[in-house]
Amino acid sequence: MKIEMKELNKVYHGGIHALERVNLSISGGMYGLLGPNGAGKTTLMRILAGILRPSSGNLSIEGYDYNTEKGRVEVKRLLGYLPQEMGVYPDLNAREFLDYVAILKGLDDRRARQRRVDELLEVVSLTAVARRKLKTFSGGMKRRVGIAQALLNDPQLLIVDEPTAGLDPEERIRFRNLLSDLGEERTVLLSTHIVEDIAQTCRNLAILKNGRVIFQGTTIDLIGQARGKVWIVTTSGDRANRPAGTITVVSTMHVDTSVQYRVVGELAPSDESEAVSTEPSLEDSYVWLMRERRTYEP
Amino acid sequence: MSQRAILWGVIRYEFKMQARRRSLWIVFAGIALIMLAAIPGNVINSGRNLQGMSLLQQVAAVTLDINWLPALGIGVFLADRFPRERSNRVDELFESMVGTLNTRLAGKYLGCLLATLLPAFLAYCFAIIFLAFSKHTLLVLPLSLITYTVIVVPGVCFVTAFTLACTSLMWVPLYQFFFIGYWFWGNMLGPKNGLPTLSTTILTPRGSFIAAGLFGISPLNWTQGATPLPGIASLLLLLLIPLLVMLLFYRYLRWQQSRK
Repeated sequence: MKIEMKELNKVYHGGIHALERVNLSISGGMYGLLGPNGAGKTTLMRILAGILRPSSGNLSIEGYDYNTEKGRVEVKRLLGYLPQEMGVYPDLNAREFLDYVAILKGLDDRRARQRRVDELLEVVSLTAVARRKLKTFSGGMKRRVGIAQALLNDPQLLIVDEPTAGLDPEERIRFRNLLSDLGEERTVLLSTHIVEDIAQTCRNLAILKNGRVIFQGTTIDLIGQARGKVWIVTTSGDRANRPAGTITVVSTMHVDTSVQYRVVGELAPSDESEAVSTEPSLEDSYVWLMRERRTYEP
Repeated sequence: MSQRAILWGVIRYEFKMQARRRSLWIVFAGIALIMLAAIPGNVINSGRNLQGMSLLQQVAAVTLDINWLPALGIGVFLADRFPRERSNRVDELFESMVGTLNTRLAGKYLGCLLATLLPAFLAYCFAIIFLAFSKHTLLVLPLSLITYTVIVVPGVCFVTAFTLACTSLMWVPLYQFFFIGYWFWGNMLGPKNGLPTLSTTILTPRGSFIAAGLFGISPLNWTQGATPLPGIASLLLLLLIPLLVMLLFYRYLRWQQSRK
């Protein structure tokens, strides 16, 4: 599935620019959308899901023009959407809620619909609790209902907005694996501010900041940009020995009596004897990119 | 799937969700008991009110008497139906689906209306069965369906539309407070106490003008001598105004969406 955005803008009432001249080209597989809170990711997801209209610019999905009502309706048939805050009717049970969503998605054959609901309850491991009211579900279970509802119409395009927020580590890993599996057969757009989620699932990504795309490419490209800028600095436990200079600390780890800092910076920290250059991770690269943009942007 | 099939599905689920509310049944049962047993002069209690009336008029009189319940219940129990789409955050999710806003709105209107009407209708059925026994005729049953459809349903449609639309602009408990207040002052105290009310006009959802004009039942001063014309006008207005209200409500929601 091909998604093309050209000069996409979204201005909210009050003149808030949520998206500014966004140009993106997305094709099949898992695609990550990364950025800090307030970067415009959710706005972009909502536009793609047909909930918001762009203020200007062009958007086409699989050749359908999103600026027309007809185009939006056609895309909705191909779409599965898991919003950031997944809402449910608390008094319905999981099976009923999924059946209701399937109706709203246009699945008309009752038997086929019920089969699909049962199938997806199995996929997200909720069969045993399918008759329990949704108000008794935990956050993780509701997320699983969310992914099941998004898959009801077997969408070619799956949009998931911050899907792992609020999940415990085990649930998060489960969810990431599920998304990776889904990405083998369809386009999955994963929006998140958690770098690890992208690192584990996506080959291609875009990074948004203040409504603008500041990077678009592969995770390898992004990592390449930070090569030679990442250091491990080991100091004694004293806070006074914390690395100084024009660097950003990515992580701090206490090892016996010493402290190991992982830092990014153009130059090695002041006392080079203790700094060892290391291979950047995606998180290091993201921090590097954000740091660079903060330094040079007006 | 056509929007018609989606509409049917929405009606089914809205009906199910509303009919499952325990409070709906408890409150309706309580009010029905008070009305049937405790109000002196009730047509069911004292058969003398029905004397000299044809069977159709007697059925219409019972229908009018019991028409306190449905609109009151709708004003109270339908008030949260629309705002809860937002509070449960399902509106964003549903917006990304092929079921259109007007289909969902129409489904909500009909499903909630029918579910809320159900306990009131059952209370009415008890009254009608009682009447059928006391009159020794089953003809009461088809007649009661006619009078219910003509006297009760238009007012209920009217109140449903206003309740759904008003609660998109107003805090739900405040609406419920005003609605209950209005229902009692409008229907019990009325204009003779200097209170503004629709109850003396053909727009009264109580169906007084319909009952007076079409069935010759005039328990109230202001409907006495009413001809069929105000009855028909009342019936048509109570059905057409909700259509208009729902259309305007839909337009308002679309406008809100476009401003997002």
